[in-house]
Amino acid sequence: MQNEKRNKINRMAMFMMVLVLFIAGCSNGPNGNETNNTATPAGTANSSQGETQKETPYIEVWGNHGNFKNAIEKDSPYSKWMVEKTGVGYTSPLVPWEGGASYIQRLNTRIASNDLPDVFLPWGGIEGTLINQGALADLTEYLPEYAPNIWSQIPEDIWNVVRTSDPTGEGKIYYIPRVELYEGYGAFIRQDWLDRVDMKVPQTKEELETVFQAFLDQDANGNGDPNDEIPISGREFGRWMDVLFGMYGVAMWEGFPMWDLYEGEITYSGVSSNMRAAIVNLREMYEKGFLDNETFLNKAADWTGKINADRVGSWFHINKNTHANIESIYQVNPDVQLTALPVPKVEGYEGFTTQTRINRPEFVIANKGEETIINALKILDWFHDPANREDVIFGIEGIDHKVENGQKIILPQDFEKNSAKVINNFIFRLEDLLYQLELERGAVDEQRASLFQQREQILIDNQPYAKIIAGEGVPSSVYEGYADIQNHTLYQEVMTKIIIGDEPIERFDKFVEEWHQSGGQVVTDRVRQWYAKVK
Amino acid sequence: MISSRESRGDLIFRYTNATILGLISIVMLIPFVKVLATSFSGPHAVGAGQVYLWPVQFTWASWKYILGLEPLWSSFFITLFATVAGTFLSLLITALFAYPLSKNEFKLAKILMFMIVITMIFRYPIIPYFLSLRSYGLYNSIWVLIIPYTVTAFNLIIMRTFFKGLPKELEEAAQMEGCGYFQLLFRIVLPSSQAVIATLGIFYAVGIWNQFMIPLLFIEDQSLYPLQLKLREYIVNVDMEAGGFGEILPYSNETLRSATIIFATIPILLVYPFLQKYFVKGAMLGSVK
Amino acid sequence: MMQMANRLHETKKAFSNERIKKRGGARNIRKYWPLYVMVLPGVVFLIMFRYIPLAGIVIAFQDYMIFKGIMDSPFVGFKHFQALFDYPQFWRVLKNTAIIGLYNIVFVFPVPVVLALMFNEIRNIVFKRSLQTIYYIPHFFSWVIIAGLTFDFLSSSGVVNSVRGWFGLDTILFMQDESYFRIITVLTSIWRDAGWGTIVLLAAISSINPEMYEAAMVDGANRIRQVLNITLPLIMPTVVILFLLNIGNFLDLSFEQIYNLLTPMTYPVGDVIDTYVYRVGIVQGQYSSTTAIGVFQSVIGLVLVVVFNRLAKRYQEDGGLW
Repeated sequence: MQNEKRNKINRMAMFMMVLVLFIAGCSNGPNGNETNNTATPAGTANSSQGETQKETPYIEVWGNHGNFKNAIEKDSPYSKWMVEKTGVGYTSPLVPWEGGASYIQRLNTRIASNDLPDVFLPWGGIEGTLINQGALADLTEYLPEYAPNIWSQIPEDIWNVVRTSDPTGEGKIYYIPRVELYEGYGAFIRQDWLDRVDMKVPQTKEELETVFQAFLDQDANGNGDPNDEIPISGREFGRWMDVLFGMYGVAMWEGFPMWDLYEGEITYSGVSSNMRAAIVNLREMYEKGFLDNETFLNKAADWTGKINADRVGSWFHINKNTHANIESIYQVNPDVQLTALPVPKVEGYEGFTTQTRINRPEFVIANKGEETIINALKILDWFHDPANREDVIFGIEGIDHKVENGQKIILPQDFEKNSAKVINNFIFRLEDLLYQLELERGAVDEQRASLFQQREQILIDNQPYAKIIAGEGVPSSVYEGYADIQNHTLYQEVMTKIIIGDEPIERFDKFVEEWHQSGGQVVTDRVRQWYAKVK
Repeated sequence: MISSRESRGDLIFRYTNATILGLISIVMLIPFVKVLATSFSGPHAVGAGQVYLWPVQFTWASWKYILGLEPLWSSFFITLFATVAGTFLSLLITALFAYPLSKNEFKLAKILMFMIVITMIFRYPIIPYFLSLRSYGLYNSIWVLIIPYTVTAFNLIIMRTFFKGLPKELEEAAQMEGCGYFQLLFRIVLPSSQAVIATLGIFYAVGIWNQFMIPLLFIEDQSLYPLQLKLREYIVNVDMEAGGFGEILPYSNETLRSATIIFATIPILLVYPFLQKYFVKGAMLGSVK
Repeated sequence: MMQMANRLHETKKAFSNERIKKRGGARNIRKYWPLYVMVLPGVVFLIMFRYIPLAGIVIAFQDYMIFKGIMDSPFVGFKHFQALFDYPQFWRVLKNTAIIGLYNIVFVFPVPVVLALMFNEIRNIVFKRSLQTIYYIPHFFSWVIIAGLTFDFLSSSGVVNSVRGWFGLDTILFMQDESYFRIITVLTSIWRDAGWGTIVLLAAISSINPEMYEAAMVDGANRIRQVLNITLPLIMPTVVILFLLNIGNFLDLSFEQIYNLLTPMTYPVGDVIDTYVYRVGIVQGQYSSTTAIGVFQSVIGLVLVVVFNRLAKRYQEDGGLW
C-alpha cells in the first residue's frame, strides 16, 4: 500500500522531471551557454550584411540593472545597437542586485572560477584586491588612444586619484571612475509651507530655526492638523541630513563622514571640532522637535513615506530625483512647491555641501588581453562622444523614445519588457544633465511637466554651495584591517546616542580618543600618505 | 478516547488553554494580514505608510499584474518540481541513512553520527562550496535546486532518533521470519513512522521551496530561476539612481513585492494542514498489533 | 522518543550487547552488509557536499586571494584569529552574543515545548489544525518583514505607544533604547519560530500510546497532572536531542534577525559576532577573516555539544547524539 503509492508518485515525479528538462532544454537556446566563454571574441556572424566575414566581437558586462527584468543577450536591442554603432556587441546577465550584496556574491563566484566578466562594476571596493592579484587590465596606455572622450572629459586631478590605486606606486590606471562634475546632492524645502506660515527661504541657522518652529506650531501643510508636521527628517545611521552637518563645515557623503582638511591636515571629519559643534546643534534640534525624533529609526521606505505623505518640511537628497517625491506629494497636496534650501549660514563656520566628483569606480576591465580592452573601450567611449549625445539621450526608437510629429519624445521606462543599458554615460556634466531633464519634461503632459520643472530649478540652485573636498577618492585600501573604521561604526553609535540625549556631549571627546586608538590613527596616517602622493 | 466524566477542573483547563492559544494566534496572523493588505492597496497609500492591517485604496492591480506574469509562473513550476522531486529524494536517502544509524549492531554508527554533528557545527565557506559543486557539474542546472538538499544533518538526526525510539518488538517478529534489513525498513519501520516522515517531508519541502542562496550563485539562466529568486527581483533598488521617469502606475514595487510574497508563501503554507492527518495519536501502534 | 516498555527493551539490549561483543570488524560487515549498503548514498553525499567543501576551511589560515585560488594564496597561520582577539570591541560582541544565546536557550527554547503541549490539549480537530497552521505562518516571512513590523509596532505611532497613551504614559522609542533590545530579540524569536518549532514535538507527542493516559485517568489524575507526568516525560528525549542540536550553534545567532533589529544606538547590547563579521565581510570580501571567525564560533559550539552530549548520555538511557 505504502509502497504502491510511492511507486505511483515516483513515476509521476519522473514524468514531471522529463517534462521540465525538456522545457529547460528548449529554453537553453543558442545563447544559453555563451556567457561562460568570453575569453575570446566569440560569436555568430550577426553582422549579416556581409561583405566582410569578420566575426563580431562581444564583451560580457556586469553592472546594476536597476529595476529592469531582462538580461541583455547578443541579439538584444542594445547589443545590436552597439554593433551597429561601434562594431562591438555586448551581453549582460541579470544579476540580482540587492544593494550590491547579491551582486558581489555572484561576482565573487565568477572571480573564484577564474572567469571574470570582461567588464564589470567593482562593487564594495573589490578592485583593490583584484589589482593586487593581477586580475585587472592596465588601462593607462589604452585610454588616450581608444577612449579619447573619456580621457579628456575626466579632469586630470581625478585621474591622479585613480592612479593612486596602483599598489606598485607606478601610477597605472586600473579603473574608470564614475564622475559627477556637478553637485548631485542638495537640501530642499517646501515653498508652499513657507508661504502658508508667511516666511521666506531661510539663509542663516537662526532663520532656519524660526522657520522650523513655525512649521511645528502651525498647520504648514494646510490639512487642518497643526501637529503632524516634521520640520526636517533624516534616516537611520544619521544619514541623509548632510546639510545639518555641512553647515558646520563637516565633509560628508550621503551621511558618512569624509576626509577633508581640518586645521591644515587631511582628517576624518567625524573627529573634527566641526563635527562636535554640529552634533551639539543637532542634539538641540532633536530636543526641540525640529529633527524628526524617529530619524534614526527611519528606514528608506519610512523616510520616503513621511515625505510623500506631505509631513516633512525639508530634507536632503539627490536633487535630480526630487520629481518622484514631488509627484507623490502632489497626490496628497496639490499645492506642493519644492525649492532649494541654501546651506544655512552658521556664525564662524564655512558651510557647504560636499561634492565628490569621483563617486566610485564605474567599470574595470578584466586582464584578458589587448583585444578585450580595446573592444570594451570602444563601447564605453561611444557613450561619451559629444557627437553621439542625441543618441545617448534618446536611445533606441520604440524602446527609449518614440517619434511623434517628427519630434523625438522620451518614453517612460518599462521595466518588464526592456532591459537596462548597463553601460551608459557615467561622466555627468551639469549642462548635459539639465538638457536631459528638459527633454524628460517635454515628454510628459503639462501638469506633470510643471512638477518636473521644479527639480531643474532645484538642481541649479544647489550648485553654489558645493565644495570639492580634499579626500575625494580615498582608496578603500587605507582601511585594511579596520573594518569598523571603514564602516563608521563607532561614529554612528556615539553620534546617535548623543543626539537623542542618551549620552552627554562629553562622550564625543572620549569617542575621538577611542577612534584614534582603535585604528583611526593608523588609517589617518595612511590617508595622509596617500594625500601627499595625490598632490 | 475521552471518558465522559470530565472533571470541572479539566474543563476549565481546556477552555483556558484554548482561549490563550486563540488570543495569541491573532498576533501570529499579523505578518500575513499586513502583507496581504499591502498587496491589495494602492501604491501611494503604501508609499505613505498608511497601510496597516487593512487595504487602503483597494485595487486588484498588483495581483492582476503578478498573476499575468509568465516568468513568475514558470519559476513557480520550477520550484514545484524541485520541491516534489527533492522531497522524495531527500526522504528516501535520509531514511536509508538514518536506519542503520539507529541500529546498535551497526558499528559505524557512533563515528558517523559524530561526523554528521561536525557538519552541523562547522560551516563550509561559500567559495569552496561553490567551486566543489561546480566541479560536480551542478552549475546552471535544475539539479542544483535538488541535490544539495538531499540530506540535512538536523533532519537526519531527528529521523534516527525516531527510529531508535521504536519498540523492538516491531521488527523482531519479522526478523524471526527471516526478513532482511531492506524489507524491515520499507515494510515495517517506515509505515510505522508516518509522523516523522510527514515532519521531515515538511522540513525538506520548505527548505527546497524557500531556497535562495544556491540559486543565486549557481543559476544563471533566468528561465531556471526558482520562485524565491524571482521574487527578489521585485525588491526596490534604493541605491540605483532613479534616473528617467516612469508612468504613473496602479501598483508599485512595494505592492508587487507583497503580492509575490503571498504568491510564493501560500502553497507551502498549505502543506502542513494536508499532512496533519499523519500526526494522529498513536499512529504507529496499529502495526504492532 | 517513546519510551514504552522500557524494561523489556533493556533486557533485549543486554542480550544483543553480548552478541555484538563477539563480532569482529570484518565479520560485522559481512553479517550486516545491508546496513552498510544503505548508508552508502548518504555517506557519499556527506563527503561530496559537506566534507570536501569543508576542506576549504583552510582559508581561515590563509590570506585567501579569490582570483588566485586556495593553492596560491599565502599561508598566514593564526593571523586572522589574532586579529579577532585584537578587535577593540571583541569582548563586547562576544558578551552580547553569549548573553543573547543564553536568553535563547532559557526563554525561547522552552516555548515550543509548552506550545506543543497546549496544542495537544485541543479537542476540536478543525480548531487545532487551523491554530497550528496559523502559528507557523510567521516562520515563512523573512526577518526583513518581521523586523519591519516590529519597528512599526514600537514606533511612536504604533500600537504599543498608542496604548501607553491611553494610560497617560510617555512615548518610548523602544528600538533605539538599549534596555529593550534583548527582550525584543527574545519576543520576536518566539513570534517567528515558536510555532514552527512545535512540529517535531507534535510528531513526538503523536507517538505516545493513548493507553498511557487511560491508565492515569483510572488512577484519578486530572488532565494537568497527566500532561506533566506522562506527556512531558515521554517527549523529553526529543527535547534533549533538540537541545543538543541547538547548542552546537550557540554562538551562531540568527544574523538576519539581529541585523534587521539592530540600530547604532543599540550596538552596546546588540552588536554580536555575526554583525561584526558582516561588516568585515562587505569590506573587500574578506573571506579569510570571516571564515576564521566562523571557525572560532564553531569550536566553541563543538565544545558545548561534547559537554552536553556527555551529560545527556549520563542521565539518559541510550541518549546523546553519538
